[in-house]
This record gives sequence, C-alpha cells and structure tokens, in this order.
Amino acid sequence: MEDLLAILIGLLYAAGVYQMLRRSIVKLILGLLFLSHATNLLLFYSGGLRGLAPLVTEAGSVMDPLPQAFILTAIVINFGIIAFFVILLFRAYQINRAEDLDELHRTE
Amino acid sequence: MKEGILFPLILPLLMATLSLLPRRWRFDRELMALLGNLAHLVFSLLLFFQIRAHGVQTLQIGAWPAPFGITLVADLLSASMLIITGLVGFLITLYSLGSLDSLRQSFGYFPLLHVVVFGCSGVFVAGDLFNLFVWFEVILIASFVLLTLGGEREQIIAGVKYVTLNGVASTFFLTGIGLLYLQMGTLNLADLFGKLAQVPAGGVLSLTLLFLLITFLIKAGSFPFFFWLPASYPTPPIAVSALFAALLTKVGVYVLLRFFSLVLLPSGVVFSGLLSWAAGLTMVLGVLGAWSQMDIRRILSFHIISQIGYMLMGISFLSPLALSGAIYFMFHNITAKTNLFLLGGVIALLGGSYRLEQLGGLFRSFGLLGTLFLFAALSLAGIPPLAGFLVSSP
Amino acid sequence: MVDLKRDMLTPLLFIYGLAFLQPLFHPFDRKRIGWLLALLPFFLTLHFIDYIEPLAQGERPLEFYSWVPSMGLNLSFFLDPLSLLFALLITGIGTLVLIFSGEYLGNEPEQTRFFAVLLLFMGSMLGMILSNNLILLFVFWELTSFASYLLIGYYHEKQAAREAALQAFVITTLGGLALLVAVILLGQVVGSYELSEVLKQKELLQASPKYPVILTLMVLGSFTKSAQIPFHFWLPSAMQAPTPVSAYLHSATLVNAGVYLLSRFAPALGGTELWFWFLVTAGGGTLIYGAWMALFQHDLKLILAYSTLSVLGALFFLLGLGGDAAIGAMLLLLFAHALYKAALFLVAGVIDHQMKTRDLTRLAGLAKKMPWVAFAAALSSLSFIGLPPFLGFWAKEGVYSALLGREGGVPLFIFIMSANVLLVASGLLVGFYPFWHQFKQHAGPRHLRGLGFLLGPLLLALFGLFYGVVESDLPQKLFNPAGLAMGQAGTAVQIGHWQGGTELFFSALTLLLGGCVFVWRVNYLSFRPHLGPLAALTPQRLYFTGFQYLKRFALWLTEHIQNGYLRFYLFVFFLALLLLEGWAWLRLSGDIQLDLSGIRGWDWAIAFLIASASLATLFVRRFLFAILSLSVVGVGVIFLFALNGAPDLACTQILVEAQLLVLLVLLLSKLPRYSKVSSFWVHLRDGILSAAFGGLITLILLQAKREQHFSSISGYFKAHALDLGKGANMVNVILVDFRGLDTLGEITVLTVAGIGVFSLLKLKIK
Repeated sequence: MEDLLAILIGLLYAAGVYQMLRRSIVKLILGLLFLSHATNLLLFYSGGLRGLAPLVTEAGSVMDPLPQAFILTAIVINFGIIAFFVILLFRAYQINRAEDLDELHRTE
Repeated sequence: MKEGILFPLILPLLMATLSLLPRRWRFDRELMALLGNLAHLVFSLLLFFQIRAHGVQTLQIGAWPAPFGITLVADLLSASMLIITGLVGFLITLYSLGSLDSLRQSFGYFPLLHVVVFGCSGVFVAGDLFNLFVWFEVILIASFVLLTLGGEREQIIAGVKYVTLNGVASTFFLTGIGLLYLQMGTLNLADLFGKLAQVPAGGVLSLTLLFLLITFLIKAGSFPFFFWLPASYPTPPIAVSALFAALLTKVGVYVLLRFFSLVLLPSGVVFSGLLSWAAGLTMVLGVLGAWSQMDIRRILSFHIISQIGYMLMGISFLSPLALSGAIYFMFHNITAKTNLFLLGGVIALLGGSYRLEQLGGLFRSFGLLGTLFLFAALSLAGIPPLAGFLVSSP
Repeated sequence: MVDLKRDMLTPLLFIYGLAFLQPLFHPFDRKRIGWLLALLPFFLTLHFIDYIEPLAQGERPLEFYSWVPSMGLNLSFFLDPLSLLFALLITGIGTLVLIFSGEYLGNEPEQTRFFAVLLLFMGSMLGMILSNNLILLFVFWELTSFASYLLIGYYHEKQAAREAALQAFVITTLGGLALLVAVILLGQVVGSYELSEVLKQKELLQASPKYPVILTLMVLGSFTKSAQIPFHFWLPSAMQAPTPVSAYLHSATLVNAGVYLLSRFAPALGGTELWFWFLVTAGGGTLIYGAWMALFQHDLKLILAYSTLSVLGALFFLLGLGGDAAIGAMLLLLFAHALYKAALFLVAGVIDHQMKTRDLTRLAGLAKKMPWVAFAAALSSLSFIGLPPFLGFWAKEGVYSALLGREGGVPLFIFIMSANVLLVASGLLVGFYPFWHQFKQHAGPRHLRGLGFLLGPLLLALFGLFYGVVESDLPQKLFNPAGLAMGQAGTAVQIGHWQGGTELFFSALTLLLGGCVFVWRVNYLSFRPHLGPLAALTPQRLYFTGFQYLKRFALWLTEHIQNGYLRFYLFVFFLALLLLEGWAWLRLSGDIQLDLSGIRGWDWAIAFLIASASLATLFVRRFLFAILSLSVVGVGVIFLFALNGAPDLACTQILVEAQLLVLLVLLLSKLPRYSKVSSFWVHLRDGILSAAFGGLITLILLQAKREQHFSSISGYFKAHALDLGKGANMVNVILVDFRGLDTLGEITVLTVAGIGVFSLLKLKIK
C-alpha cells in the first residue's frame, strides 16, 4: 500500500503544479488545494500505513499518532489560508474584471 | 525563572486578543500597542540578561520531556532577535499612530501587528521543526492580511502573488518535514542534531534537507525565489512595508542560520557552494534591480534582496567570523532598513510622491530629515564608521 | 592648552567633535566662523610640530585600544616622520583653508554643512595617516572618499556637481574595495592587521604567491585615489567643488592619500620589478598627460587640476624608481607642491569669488586690483616653475640629480624634463597671465576686502620662499627621517646646497624652454578647451558609456526577471526546485524497487478514484466541474484516511471539504468560463515539468522509505497517552496536550484568517 500511496502523492503533486502554472484564477486555487492534499498524504505516508487507529484501547499494533496530529494541524491551518485566499482571488477578479492571471502583471 | 522565555510569546498574543475585544471592554488600542511592544522589548532584554548570566534557556511546554513535547530554546542570538523585534514593533506602532488612516486601524491593524510579533517571537525560540512551521504560518497569515488590509487595487494584486508564492513555500516546507520525519522519526531540533550525526552520508536524506533549505531560501528572499518581495513590499502603507522589511525576510535568514548549524552541519550534507552561488546572484540582481527603479519603496525593496545576499554569503562561508558578520549585519540591516522605509514615508508625505524624479530640493527645506536618510542609506551602503561597514569587512 | 603629547586619538576626537558641535557657533558670528574653527587645526599643527624633534631622534609613539578584536580591528595609532610630514600638511593647510572658506562662503546658509563635512574630512585624513591598523586605515580611507563625495557635490542643485561627485565616489570606492581585499590578504599572509607588524615582513610578503595580487590591488586603490591614469578623469571633473575644497583636497591631502599609501608600504612591498613597472608607467603616463592637458585649458582650476595630475604622476614615478635620491626628491616635491598648489588654488578661489569667472580669456590686469593676491600668485607660481631659490626649485634639482645620477637614467630624465617644460608654461599661465597681461585696463569694480582671503595664499607662498632661502633644519629633521622611515638611507634631501653644474644648467634650460612654450601658448594659440590630441584618449568617455549601458542592462534585466507574471514566478520556483532536487538525486546510487503486492481491493479503488478525478480536473473546461472533481479527490482522501486507521483525519477532512466546496462553488463558479488557452507548447512544457516534479517526489518517497535511520519517537505517546494525558485517543491527546502550542498557533491562524476575510469584504479603500 505504501508504494501505491507514493505514486498517488506524486500524481497529486504533478496535477497541482500543472494547474498552478495555468493562467486561470480558479486553476490557481485548485492547484494549491491539490498540493495541500498531496502534502497531507505525504505526512500520512511518513508515519507508515500498517496498523490500527491510534487509540489506546486498540489491542495490537497501532499507527504512529504523531503524523496524524501534524496533518490535523496542517489541515486546519490550510483551511484558514485557503479561505482567505479564495476571497482574495474573488476580490482580485472583482477589481480586474478578468479571470486571466496574466492581467495582473501590469502593476509591477 | 525558566518561564522568562514565554513572556515574549504570551505578551503579543494577549495584546492581540485584548485589542480584538469590543471597545468598552478594553483600553485604548493604540496605547496597548505601544505599551505591549515596549513590554515585549523589556522582557526580551530581561531574557537576554538572564541568558547572559545563566546560559541558554530551554522550556518544555506543558513539562513534557524533550523530544516528545514542544521545546522552546533561547540563546543570546534568539534573545537579540526578540529584542530587535520588540524594538521594531514599538517604533512601527509609534509611526503608525501618526501615519495610518483610521479605517485600517479600526479593521484590525493593531491586532495583526501583535500577531506578526507573536509569530516572529515564536520562530526565534522554536526548538521543533513542526512548531516552526506553525509559527511561519502564523506570521504568514498575519502578513497576508496586513498586506491586503485596505483592499486597494495594487494591494490585492500584490496579495495574490504574495500568498501564492508563500503558499507554495509552505507546501515545500511540509514536504521536507514529512520526509525528515519519515527518515529520522523526530522533529525536535536538538534531537535531530544528535541523530543526524550518526547518519551515513550519501543517502536520500540530502534531498530531504534540500527541500527545507529551499523553503528557507524562499522565506529569506534569495535568488531565484525573491519575486514575491518586490511584488508585494511597495504596495501596502509604508508602516506595513517597514514592518515586513524589518522582520519577514530576516526570519528566513535567522532560520537558515539555525538550519545550517543545527541540521546541515551535523548531517554532513552542506550545500555551502549552492548557497554562496545563490547569495552572489542575489546580491548582484538585488543591486541591479534597485538601481533600475525610481520609486523609493521599490528601490528599498530590491535593496533588501541584495543585502539578504550579503547575509547568505556570510552564512555560506560557515566560519564563525563570517557567521558573526552575517548576524551583525542582520541586526544592523533590520534597524537601518526600518529607518529608511519610515523616512521614505515621511519624504513621500512631504514631497507628495515616492518617485525620485518628482522629488527634489527636499534637503534644503528639510535638512535634518535628509541627514537622517543619508546616514541610514550610507550605513546600508557600508560606509564606515556606521555599523554597516564592520560587516562588509570579514 | 591641552597637553596632547603622545596622543593621537584625542586630536581626531577633537576634530570630529568640532564637526558636530560647530553648528552651535554659527549663530554668534557667521562672518568670522572660519577663524574660530581654524583654531583647532592651528593648535594641532603646533602639536605636531612638537613631534618633529623627538621623531627625528627615533622615537615612535604608539597608541592602542582594542575595539573589535575578533575582526582584527583595533584603534591603533602610530606616528613616524613620514606620517608626520602628511600630518603637518593636513593640519597646516587645513588651518588656512578653514579661514579662507569662512570668507569664501560668506553668509551662505548651508555653510554649516560645509564646515561639518570639511572637518569630517580633515579628521578622517588625519586618522588615515595615523592608523597603525590596516582595517582602521581602510575605514578612514573610505571616510575620506565619502567626505570628498559630499564636498564635491556641495552645490547639489547643479547636475554637473552631482555627477562629478558620484563619479569620484564610484571610482574611489572601487579602489577602496580593491584596497580592502588587499588589506585582508595582507592580514592573512602576515597574520596580523597591525601595520607595524606587516611592514617588518618584507621577505615573507614578497615571497608569498599572493604578492602580485596584493600589490596589484594596493596599486589599484592608490591610483584611483590619487587620480593616476587610467583613473585620472575624476579629478578634473571634481573641479565642480567649491574652490577651498579643491585647494585642500585636490592639491595637498586627498589626492596625496594614494601616494601616502604606497610610500607607507614601500619598505614591505616595494623594490620589485612589478612595483617598478606599475608606478613608472602609470606615473610617467600621468605626468606627461597632465602636463600636456594643463596647457590647453582656459579654466584656472582645470589648469591647476591637470598640473596636479602631472605632479602626482611624478611622485609615483619617483616612488617607482626607488633609491635614496629619488625618494628624497619625491618627499621634497610632495611638500613643495602642496604649498604652492594650495596657494594657487586659493588664488583661483579669490579670483572666482571677486570676478565671478575663472576663464583666462575673460581675466586681465588683475594685479592692479588685487596686488597682494598677485604677489602671492607670483611667488607660488615661481615655486611652481622652479625658479631658484624657491622650494620648488630645490625639489626639481633633487629630481634632476636623482635621474642624472642613475644608471641609464638619461631617457627618463629627458622625459621628465619635457614634462617640466610644459608645466613651467602652465605655471606662468596661472600665476602671471591673468594678473599682468593688459595691465593697463582692469576690469570689474569690486575691491578685495578681508584678510581671510589673503592670509592663506600669502603665507603658503612665503613658506615656499622662506624654506628655499633660509637654511633650516627641515631636511635633517623631517625629510630625511621620512626617507629613513621608507627604508632609504635618508640623506638625500638638501635645501640650499647647489648641486653640480649639470643640474643647474638643465633647470635653466627647462625655464627657458618653458618660457618659450608659454609665449607660444599665449600668442599663437587661441584658447580652446580640448585642443590637445590626447583629449581623445579619455577613459572618462568609457566610464560614461559603461555607466549608461550598465544602467540600461539593469533595467532590462529587472524588467525581465521581475516581470509581474505570477505564472513565470511559479514556473521558476518549481523548475529551480526540480533542478536542484534532480541534481541531488543524480548523485545518489541505488535502484528503486516498487512493491505493489498485498494491496487491498478498496485501496485500489480509492487510488483509482483519486487518480481519475485528478486527471479530470485537468481537462474539464467548466469551473464548476473542476471544483466538483476536486471534491471527488477530497472524498477519495477522506476514504483513504478512514480505511487506513485515521478516523480523526477523515472526520476533519469531511468538515473542511464541505466548507471549502460551498465557498468555492459560491464564489468561483460565478466567474466566466476561461477562454484564453495557452499554446500547445506551453502545455507541453508545463506538462513535462509537472510530470517530472511528481515523478521525482514519488521516487524520493520510495527511496526514503528504505532509508529510515531511526524509528519514530511516538512510542512515548502510546505508552503515556492514558496515564499522563488522560485520553485514549492518542491524536487528540497530542493535539491538546503534548503539542498544545501547535494548536494555539493553529487557532491564531484561523482567527486572523477570519479578520482577513472580514476586512477584505468590508474595507475597500479606492
């Protein structure tokens, strides 16, 4: 399963990078979301996949709880940032009346 | 007094929370900002002297033992960074009181300022990589909001670029953290320091560390990752630019410094060649960039980049002398740069523009101001005997 | 008077202190401020005169304070006859220039600034020649460049003044950088930054493989400062400075700093082939170039500037030749030149101030109007051209005898004599022409008042006469000890002792020929600025075009790098990461093993779901569909968490996904359909980049899994979650307890994001 997950993570990274390189505002945010999924899964991968849910009550070997805690923190942080970013992009669209990111270059 | 290390963290957080309360439940926001930052400065100074007297201070949050709980560490370098953070916070608050429009002030400017100070202080005492990531994010989100606060067109557009590029950097950071945890099983820096020394060289660990290195290079604004800096710094009100210029990239440089001494050196994977190339190109491109601009804020932004190059060059030499030079330069740069940005603001206020070609003859009317600007600028340019020079010499 | 004996730091502090405090004096007496300020350098001159005797006896006062020991930077000073010679010039001429400036600037409102910078310069120049620490010396060296920048640009409303100031600054700072590197190398070779240590290590230094580099850099620093070819052009441009500044900086002090530097290091670095060729070629070139160019100027100050170039060239030339006679002649020439050139500059200043012009074609008959000035000018000019018994004459005698007494020195002698012939003509042109030609008609009604104007030129000129006539012990007490300090026998300088008849004959011949050139110049050559054929050889033009091109290049580069396209920035980010990681990957060895056995059916299903939804996102054209496929990916991730022992993650992810979905659909689906499509090649490029990126991540992950060096620290959590953390769910216990600080940060982020969203929606400043 780990190796399958590794491939999946690579795929998500590739999809994220590709979308971020497009000119569209929406694709930009989709790309960032893909990247955040990918990193969450990568953290998940780092704890190993064999084992049961990390509860003390479980008999037998449980999974590493630490990466899961990291992921939880990362998910929430990411949620805050992405929510802000979505609104920001929407404002950028409102100001510029264009969905094309290349339109934003002229201010520099 | 082991908890001395906590005050520079608790204080800004408390101030941020208090200033978010409705008006009738709290003191004057401006007063709180001033006193809060002053108190931060004082506590940082106390911490500094405590460290001077008793050596490095560590604190386990919640008293959980070392690699398991979160460690906070402060040595003299951290304490000095905390002091300068408090100082910058105080000065910028002072400046903001006079210069910032009341709209921005009422939309959370001061709480955000506190959060930036909170996050930076966290970075300076962090003893754990994931904790460091969290502090980075705290700084980032606060800087996102500060940058776009006001919603002017330029700000929003700069915000899009700034958020995107820093978001990507966060992704790289998490990737590096995940890989490092996978290979080393720990993220505590002291723990890593001991364990990395036992790892045989030549493995995939170098790629893991490279992810982290690149993250910090992005944060520091090094070549070829500095785009976010000139794209964003010139757009917000000058007090915000000054805050960013003083603290944000320096946080990256500080972490790079720690990263080299705590992680890269023991692991034997040293990218010093890579770093010195990046540093050299950063210096040159920064200077050329600054030269090609006519807007004071943009000149200063590019100039930050070039100076980051100097600091990175100092780090890349890896010798104690060069490191101390880099550290010294960092302190000096923080103060001088803040000064220049703030003075730039005053100049624009008096001359009505940030564009050099529309300014002129200001010296005659405002001699003292000109002299101040001259001193700070020359000090940055490394003219003796102002502090900037001492750094260029090693 | 304060007893300043054995103390070198105190004079510096006094001067710097005065620079800062002098604005306080201005309100009292603006007119006589120059006199007041001049008191300090005057007493300092007396102070240094006191040193002449003990130093000649061989005393070497030292003063040491530790400053930044880790960098080898100490406040360490010393005084020997060589530095004393310069110190006397700096303080003595400084006194007169300060008095003169007070008069010259009159009531200009900005004179406070002027005096501050002039004193800053004086202190730094003095500090430089007193430094016994290489780094300290460099610090003062740069300070003089900086002060000179401010002084040249004093009339900062004038474009030409600003440009000249910047030009001088750029050139001298480049030289300063070279000097810095040379200093560091010297320190590395010798192991100490103390000058007195370094100077003892001649053998060590000259045997070192770094010697040529050190010497080249040192020479570079010194040539830029002393305006030697090819760095000479800043000096004529610097004539934009107020005339007292030129009198002080560009005749006696600043431009001599380079001479001082090389003289100082001559005992350690000198005497080699390389040394000889550097100094003799550049010095000789500048000597003849300056003399030639001076002849064709019609601005008094430019004539003086070019002739200064020429004399500086001669100084380097003599320094390069080496030997007791040449060094002795050099020291005397340096001294004599400082006196007469400062006087002539001051005279030019008086003329400029009174007549509002320095143009030779517009000046005539001034002797009638300002007889005392004419007198001073005549005396200085006679010293300049080398008429006996003026000091300048003895210097020239010394030079001639040094060359004639040298084996194979005849060609060099002819060379230097022809330059001198030209200089004689320039001397007459400056010192006599404006005063005495058309003596009958005198132009302009203004009459000269003020002792301040006269004192400087007169005193300097009289000094030049006095020391030429009166048999003083100056050679024994000052020049010869200085030569001794430069590693020579120190017996060469003799004033008032007639050399052989040959030298005298050639001196007379020089004067005669010079007189002829002067007559030819005045009568048969109309005044035109750039007549000399050598004028075409201007590195100045090179400097300007280079500057322009560099600036254009900077603009072009910056516009292309910081081009404003977010896509480009992102592309560089990912590409740089890919290249660096790929480069590191290629240095690894080992093969990749992929193990896809033992995967449960539902895992395959989830993987398939995520993969296909990701691909779908890439290709759908409507945003709504893209957002929906993203949600499918999210659902896949949720299942993956849920089925692999991470129920908490799955729950959180569900909440987050749901909220994000709502947000995205509400806001972004309103956006118009994206219509502009990049070209196929752009797609291909980005496709390759992202595929390589993803592939590399997979490879790293697979490899890292096999290189786990330590097992995780989480055994502790398993063991203690219940008893210490009081919770059965380890993840929760970690979040709220073991790593509670992270959660605090997380909450902060959420709160701030809330503020951000609120302000983005509510606060819109146009």
